[in-house]
Amino acid sequence: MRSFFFYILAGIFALVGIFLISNISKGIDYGKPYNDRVNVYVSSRSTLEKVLEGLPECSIINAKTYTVKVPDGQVQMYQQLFTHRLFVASATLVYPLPKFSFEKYGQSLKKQLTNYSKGNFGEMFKRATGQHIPITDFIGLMIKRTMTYLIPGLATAIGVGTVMALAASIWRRWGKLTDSIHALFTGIPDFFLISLIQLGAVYASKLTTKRLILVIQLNDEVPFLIPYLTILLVPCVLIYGTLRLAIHREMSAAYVRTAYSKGIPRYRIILRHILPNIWEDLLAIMPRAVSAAISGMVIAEVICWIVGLGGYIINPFYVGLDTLPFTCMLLGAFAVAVQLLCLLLRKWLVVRTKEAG
Amino acid sequence: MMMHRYTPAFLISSLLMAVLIVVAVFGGYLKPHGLTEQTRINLDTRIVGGEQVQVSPPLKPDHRFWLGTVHRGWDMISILMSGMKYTFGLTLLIAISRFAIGLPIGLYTGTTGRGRKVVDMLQWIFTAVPAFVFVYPALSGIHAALGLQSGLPISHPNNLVFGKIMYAVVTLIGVAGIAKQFQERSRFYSDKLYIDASRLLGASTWRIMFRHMLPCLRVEIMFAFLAEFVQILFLLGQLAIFGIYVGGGLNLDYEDYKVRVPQTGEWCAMIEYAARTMRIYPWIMLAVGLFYTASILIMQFFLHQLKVRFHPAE
Repeated sequence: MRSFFFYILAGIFALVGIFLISNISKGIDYGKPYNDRVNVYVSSRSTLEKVLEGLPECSIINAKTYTVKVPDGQVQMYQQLFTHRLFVASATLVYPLPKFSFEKYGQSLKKQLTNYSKGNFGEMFKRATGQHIPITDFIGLMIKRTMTYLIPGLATAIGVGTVMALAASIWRRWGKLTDSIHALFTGIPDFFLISLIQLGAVYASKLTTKRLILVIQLNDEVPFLIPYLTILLVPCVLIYGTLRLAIHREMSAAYVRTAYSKGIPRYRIILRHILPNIWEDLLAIMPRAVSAAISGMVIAEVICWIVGLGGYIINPFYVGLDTLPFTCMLLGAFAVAVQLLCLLLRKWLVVRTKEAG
Repeated sequence: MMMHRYTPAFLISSLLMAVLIVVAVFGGYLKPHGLTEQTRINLDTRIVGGEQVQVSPPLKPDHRFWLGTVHRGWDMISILMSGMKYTFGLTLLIAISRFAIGLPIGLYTGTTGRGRKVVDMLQWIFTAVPAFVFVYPALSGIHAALGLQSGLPISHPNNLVFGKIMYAVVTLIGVAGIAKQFQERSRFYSDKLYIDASRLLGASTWRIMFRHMLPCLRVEIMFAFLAEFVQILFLLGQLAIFGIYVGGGLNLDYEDYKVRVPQTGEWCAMIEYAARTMRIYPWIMLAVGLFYTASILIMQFFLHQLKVRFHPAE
């Protein structure tokens, strides 16, 4: 029990750490823009000198950073002027290098905690309508959306990974094929996997001239198959690999050799004798599998423009204002809760035969 | 530890690894097309629907540009080969730094038993919670504070400042995992008779760590280093989807979308660029993904063959 409290403490530290790290940007002191200089980014077809021709009052301060001196107090006017000049990609105000202020950071943490105590967890800004929506109005929908594919995806990954590992051990030729596929999938990054699934859906729709699979969120229509497949594949690969190694390890154990010598068929040995002994390995890999599932879920939501628990952070239609710490803590809390559940299951289901200490 | 004769698989994996390293280091010289203003394609003549039309980049793959071009008219293969050194260089630096910090901590806590709980707790936290949950909020705020989302050129000092911060954050996030791994290994070796003998003879902890344990762990360090390199590549790829990467880009505005075109070909910048235009220009993401995946597969194949060579019984 003592070790379980240790992990609860670790979980609390994790959430506190996420809260502190998520608010680091609040301690950044931007400073005020200089009132006598503008950054003028010139396209490759011209030079800064040519752009400044006809403006004798302006001069180059630093060619490397494209900083141009303009008359005092007229930065806004010259910024607009340069923006509309030929061969200028953009013109921006010049800020001093930001500094980190612990005082400002401490004050912002205090303010954030006060807001949380009042039930204010930040707002979402909807670009299309200019609305400010408290995230508490939105969070239920976001959680529901995310859990719609996260829980089924994870559950399917555990089932499929376990069944595939058992099948690969029972039928050796099938095992060689699935081992090769496993080796291939471990090398594919999750962002590329999602991209391949999404592009596959796009081409399938083009071929059939019908919308077979939704690839991005359209109003309240949320893609299911793409995030579901992503969440399914990544942990499934992890679980398959772990259980294959575990079964391979158990196959050389004395009790398995005894079972073989008694004439018990391979499939029976694996299902009746080995399977109960590899649950611990499955529970041991579960935290990593859940972590991989959450990562895959967030990337799928970002790529498919889903306004879910992870996808809203980069969404073309919404901007989060002060919501990032809250949603990061929610994701962290979910991951920690699953870890603790796996620890409890290990405690209850796994019989320890080693000496204490 | 018995080493066996070179197997064909080991030789092939070594050859592929050598090719990867050569392309990473000399990609800028080996690339098939130039990346200058003179080699840019502004307009290309293509046959579309039986008619000759002028097409502006990005161009689809054809016999000249096997993986197509980017928005600025440069060959995809050339820009990826040119940018490989930045990505691999940063990854290598992060991996070395993680080991430089994590390995001594792991050896110390495993040998002496002091600080073991702290390492266990930190490793548990960073395994349970995905790394980007810690890394993204910190880096996104700094990224915005430095004005990098407006597309500063690579030479701008803010890019270097952000690069240093990102390197530090990504390094620190992985230290606990390495410390825990080598804490367990050094704990295993700590029970060996020759370590006990060394202790009894008055050897200091540092001597035991570096003169006795470290040589026993050198093969495992090599395996763990390669595995860590791959994990860092995965993490950098994930952060790139969120728009967090090192290296500048040029903002280009089109009628209905904006895109930030990388200037150096750095792979994470290319991932972010490809993700924004994937549904319109899919070959860009396919090219970047292909290079990324091929590199990871080659490293994993080499790592597997190394393990087979050094630990054939396993």
